[in-house]
Amino acid sequence: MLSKYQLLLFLGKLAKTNELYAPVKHDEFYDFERITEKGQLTLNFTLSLYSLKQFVMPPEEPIMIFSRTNTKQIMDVQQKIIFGARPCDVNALKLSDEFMLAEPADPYYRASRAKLTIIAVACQQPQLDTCFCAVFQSYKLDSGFDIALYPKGDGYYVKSGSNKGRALLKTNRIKEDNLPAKQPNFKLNKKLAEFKERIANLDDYRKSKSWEKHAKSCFACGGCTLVCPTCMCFDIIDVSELDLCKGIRKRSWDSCQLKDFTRIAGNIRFRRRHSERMQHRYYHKLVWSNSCVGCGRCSIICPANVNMVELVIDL
Amino acid sequence: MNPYIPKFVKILKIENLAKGIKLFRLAYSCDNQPGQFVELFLPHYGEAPMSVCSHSKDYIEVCVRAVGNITRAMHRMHIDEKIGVRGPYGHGYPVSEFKNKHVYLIGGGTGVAPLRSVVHYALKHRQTFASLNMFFGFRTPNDVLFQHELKEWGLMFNLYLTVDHPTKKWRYSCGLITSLIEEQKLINKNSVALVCGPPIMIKFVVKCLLNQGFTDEQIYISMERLMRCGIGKCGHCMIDGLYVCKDGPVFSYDKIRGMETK
Repeated sequence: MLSKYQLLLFLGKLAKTNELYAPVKHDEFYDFERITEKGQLTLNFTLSLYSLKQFVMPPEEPIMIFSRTNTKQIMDVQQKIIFGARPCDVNALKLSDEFMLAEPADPYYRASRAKLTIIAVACQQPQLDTCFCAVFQSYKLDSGFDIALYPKGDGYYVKSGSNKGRALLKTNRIKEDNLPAKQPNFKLNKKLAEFKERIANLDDYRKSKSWEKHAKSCFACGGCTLVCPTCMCFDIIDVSELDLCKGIRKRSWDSCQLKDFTRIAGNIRFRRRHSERMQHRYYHKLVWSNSCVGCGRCSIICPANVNMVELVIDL
Repeated sequence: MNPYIPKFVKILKIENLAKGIKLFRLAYSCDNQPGQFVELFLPHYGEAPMSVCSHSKDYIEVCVRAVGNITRAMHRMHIDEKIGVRGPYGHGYPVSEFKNKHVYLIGGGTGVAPLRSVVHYALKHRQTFASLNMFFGFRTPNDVLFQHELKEWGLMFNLYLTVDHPTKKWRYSCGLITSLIEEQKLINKNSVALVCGPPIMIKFVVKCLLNQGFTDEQIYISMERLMRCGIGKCGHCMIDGLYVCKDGPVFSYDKIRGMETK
């Protein structure tokens, strides 16, 4: 068992010698932020608004410099320790690992991922009204972390999940615990049970008129894809210097909800309607890749209050 | 190997094919499957996917119509200048599966270019196909691509040409490519049809082929989508869970029926 006091001491020590990121409150929500002093740390945090995606694929990342006849790779990745990843985030990272590291693996993702140390904290109950991890059982914290902390009374059970995690515990003289066999089980309420049933045969609802109804309120702003932990779509952008001698190639997050996402030569666009783009995202998450973990961030951020669970039930 | 970094290679040859269309031969050696594509990179202009229209270990050829920033800039380039290439990517035409089959190539406009790689394959591997039949359509006789090669191909394979607006000298057919197909009565047993061209042509050619007794599995079409990364990661080319860049760009029709405009 690790007490809250001991955990803060451990994190304070890590912050001194490492790039440590932990949830810090901004207005209503928490966000991962670089911790430089102990005072910034809090242990009573809820789900962060942005996921761990920013650490494996930064919103904008330089990948190459080029001249007129030459190219050179840029890969500048630092070791980072993340404290406070929630189980849904860890499970989302497992899914994005599977996708981004499938052959041919993405070299930038691989480099960032290898330099990440994740200290996850389990949830004892769904943290926000928008959480629907119970549907995908992604509240379970079994693997994918380096160190996991399971809250118990005034402290935490400690478990390592990798050699990196074990070594970190050892150097800080923190003992691992035997987890009690009984772990919390999140129950499905009526709404979530209906949602789960519906997504099992979502293909039958492609022609539902409700898509159009919900798309009417959607601004197609792309906020949902921004906060989604498994939305890995990106654009490749070349930025030239003014003298046109050199330039830099960057990759930046992109969103399938934006109307220019599919634009090809001759200004041809596919999925021109909001409803088509909305459907594309829902089917990608819930059917084609099964990559939704139920973190509920898309529902939190949506300025039009489009809620994934409610939309699907309404089809 | 970093898949996002292009390699710079020299332009070996440039040929004017028709008004606004040039053929570039690049010193990029790769073992491409007919129907695959490469990403071409012009510093300060950007990167664009182009289908390879040759089949050779020593070089690749691309047929470029000047329509956008990158393609117009390419048209201003000269022999020996350098251009960035990465690839080849995706799944092309499964030519090894076409052994001893009647192969029908049906192309319209620049859609003929990817099919040319299949012809080059056939020239190298004689007697692979039971027969090779080409149905190519263009707007006017001046728009006909690969004119010198077509003459040779006409001697070795079955070649049918049609144009929308003929001139007095035009010796071949005129009118829609579908009526040409209907006239010729294709053999639908033990055969495949590879279709490439503008979406509207694909739509009617597929309909026509199905009418002639072809099954969905016998028809192959090449899809055009925005392919940024080329390796199935960036998501731009995705249709219904399929990545055009990785799972395609060539699909048998049964896999993408109804998705042509999605």
